[in-house]
Amino acid sequence: MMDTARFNTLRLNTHSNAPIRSRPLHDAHVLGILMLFFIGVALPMAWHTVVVLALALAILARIQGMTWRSIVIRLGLALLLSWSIWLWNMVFVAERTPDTIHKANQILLRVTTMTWVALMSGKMLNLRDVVSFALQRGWLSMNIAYALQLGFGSIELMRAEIRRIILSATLRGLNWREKFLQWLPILIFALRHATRGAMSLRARGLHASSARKTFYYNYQSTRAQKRHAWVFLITLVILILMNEI
Amino acid sequence: MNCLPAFEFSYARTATGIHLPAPLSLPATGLIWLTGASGAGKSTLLNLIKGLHPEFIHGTLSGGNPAIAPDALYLSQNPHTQIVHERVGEEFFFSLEHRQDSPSEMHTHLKLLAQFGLADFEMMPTAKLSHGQAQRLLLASMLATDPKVLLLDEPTAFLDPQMRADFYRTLHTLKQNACVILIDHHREAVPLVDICWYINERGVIRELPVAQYLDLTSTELEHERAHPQSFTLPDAPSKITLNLSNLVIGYDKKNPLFSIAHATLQSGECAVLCGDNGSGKSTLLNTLAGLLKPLSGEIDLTASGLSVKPRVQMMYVFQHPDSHFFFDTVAEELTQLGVTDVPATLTQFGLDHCAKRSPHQLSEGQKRRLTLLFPILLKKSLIILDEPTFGQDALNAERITRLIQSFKSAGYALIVITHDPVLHQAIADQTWRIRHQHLEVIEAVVT
Repeated sequence: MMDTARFNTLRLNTHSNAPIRSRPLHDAHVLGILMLFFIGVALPMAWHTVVVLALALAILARIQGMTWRSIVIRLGLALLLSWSIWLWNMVFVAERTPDTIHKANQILLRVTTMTWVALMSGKMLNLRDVVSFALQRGWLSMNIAYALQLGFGSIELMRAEIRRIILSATLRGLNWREKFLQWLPILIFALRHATRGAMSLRARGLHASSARKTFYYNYQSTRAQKRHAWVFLITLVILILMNEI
Repeated sequence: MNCLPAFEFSYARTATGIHLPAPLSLPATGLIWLTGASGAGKSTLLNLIKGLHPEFIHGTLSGGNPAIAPDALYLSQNPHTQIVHERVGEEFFFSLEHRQDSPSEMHTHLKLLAQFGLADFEMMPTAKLSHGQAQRLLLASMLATDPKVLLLDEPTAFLDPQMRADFYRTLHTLKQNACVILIDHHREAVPLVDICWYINERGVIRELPVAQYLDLTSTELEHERAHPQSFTLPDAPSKITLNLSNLVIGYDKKNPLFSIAHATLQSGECAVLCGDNGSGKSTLLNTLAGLLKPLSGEIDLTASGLSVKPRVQMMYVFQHPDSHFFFDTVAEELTQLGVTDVPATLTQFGLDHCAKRSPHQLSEGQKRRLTLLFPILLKKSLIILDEPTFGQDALNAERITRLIQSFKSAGYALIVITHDPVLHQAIADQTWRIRHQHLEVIEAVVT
C-alpha cells in the first residue's frame, strides 16, 4: 500500500509504515514528554506534583505496551538505587532537624521518580526508531544517524560477547587476577566493533559524500499519534496546575 | 577493463604482507576466484581493492594504488558486524535507499528476500538472526542493487547446502553482468570460476589457470595424506556420558525453538549437529555451556561415574575466535595454558612464526586453528566445536578433520556444528538433526 506523508515543507514518498506508526504514541513524542518531565522535576514543584507526574508517566508506559509487573519491578529497583542518597542525607548532616529530614525525603522522592521514569523509558520507546525518524525529517545527518544506529545495535552484540568471554574465562580456569584481564577482550571487541561498523558503512555503499537517500518505510507520526500526544501533554499541564495552585 | 597495478603491502608491526609483482586485469564481467592458504592475505587484498587502506587496515603500501573498486559492495566474513538496522526489512533496503531508488522500485526487489528464505522475517529484529540468516540478508541486500563489482569474503561459510546451491545459481546469473571477486573454500564454486588469483605462502599474488590451482591443492593434499602431521594427544582425562532427556531449548517458553526426547553421547563419540539456519544449533550449544537455561528437561553429564556440571568437563570453541583471547601475544596465551615448547606446538597447527603476534591480528582462519588447541591444553573431556573448518583452505580443513578424529581416538566426546559435508561424513558417529522443532538422532552406519 502506497502511503504519502505530508510535512510543512517536505513531501515524503514511502511504501510501508514502520512499526513506530502503529504504537499509541509516537516514540519521538514520548521522548519529548520524557525530556519535559526531567526538566520539570528539577523545578521547585511540590512533592505531590512530582508523584502525580511520575504516575502519569507510568500510565503512559502501560499504554505503550509495558506490563504493570514490569513497571512495579522498575519502581522497586529505583527505590533500591536511590535509598543510599537518603541515607547519605540523614547520616552526614550536622544536626538532624525536621527540616533536614523533610529535605532528605524530598530528594529521595525526586531521585526515585527520575530513576523510575529513566528505567521505564527503555521500554516505553524505541530509540533506533526515533533516530530513523529524525534522519527522515533531516534533523540528523547520515553520519550521526548511522553512528547512533550502530551504537545502539552493538549493545546486544556486546552483551552476547561478554557472556562468551566470561564463559571462556571460566572454562579456561583463569584465576581471579587473570579473570581481571577480561576487560581486555571486551575492550578489543568494542574497538573492533566500532571499526568494523564504520567499515561496513563504506563496504555497503555509503560514502562521505552521501547526503541524500530515499526511504522505504515511513517513520513519521500519524494524525492520531499527534492527537494522543497533545491530549497527554494537556493532561499533564492540568495535573500540574491542580497540584500547584 | 580495469587493471590492478603492481604493488606491495606490509602489515603494521610485522615483516609480512602481500605483493603483486605484475599488474592483473579486472574484467567488467565474470568471476575471479581469490585463493591461497588461510592467512595468506586474501581478505587484505579485498580490503585494498575496496580502498579501505589506510583508514581501516594499517600497514605500508608502495607501488601502484590497488584501490580500483571503491564503489564495490563488500561482504565481509562476520555478517553481524555489517548489520546497521534493527529490523530485517530496514537492513534489506539499506543499499537501495542509498542508491536513491523510489519506494515502488525498491518494492519490486522484495522477491530477493523471499529467494534467500527471509520472506516472513521483514519485521524480525536483526539481532535475533543466526549467522546464516544474517549472511543471507546481507547477500540479498547487496544483490538487489545489481552491483557492478562485488567483493565476497566467504559468503557461503554459514549457509546450509541447499541455500549454498541456490546462491551459486544466483552468482552464475550475476557474473554475466558484474565482476565478482570471491573468496570461497567450497569446491562447488569451481565451475563458476573464470579467473583464479592465487596468493602463495610468501604473499605473492599471481594469476593461475584454475586447473593448475586445483592440481596444486590436490598435490598438497596428497602429500599431506601421505605424510600426515601427527597429533600426539593425551588421553581424555575421564570417561564421560552425556544424557539429554525431555529437553526444551529456546529463549521463550511460549515459543521454544525445539525439543529433544532423548540423546546420549559417550567418550570417543562425535555427534554432528545440523539443521537449517536459525533452527537453534548454537542455542543448544549455548544451553549445554550454561550460557542459557533449558526451558525444561534435564542435561546430565557423568564423568568417571560421578554426576558433574557439563561446563566442568567441557570446552566450547566458539564461532567467534576473538572471545577466547585474553593475552597480548599468542605465546602468552599458550604459556598460560601450560605449553612449554610454543614454537613446536604452533608448527603442528600451521601457525609458524605467529608466537609473537597478537592473537587478534591473526587471520580468521589462523585464529580458528589456534582456538582448536585450547581443548587439548585444558584437558577437557567434552569438546564443542562451532563450524571448526570455517575459513580454512582444503589443506587445513584436512588437518582439522584428522585432529577431530584424533580427539575421538584419544577418548574425547565431541559435538560439532558444521555445514561441511566432507567433515560431517568423516567424523560423525551420530547425526543430531533439528527438523520440525525436534532433534532427531541418527546413528552413523559403520562400513
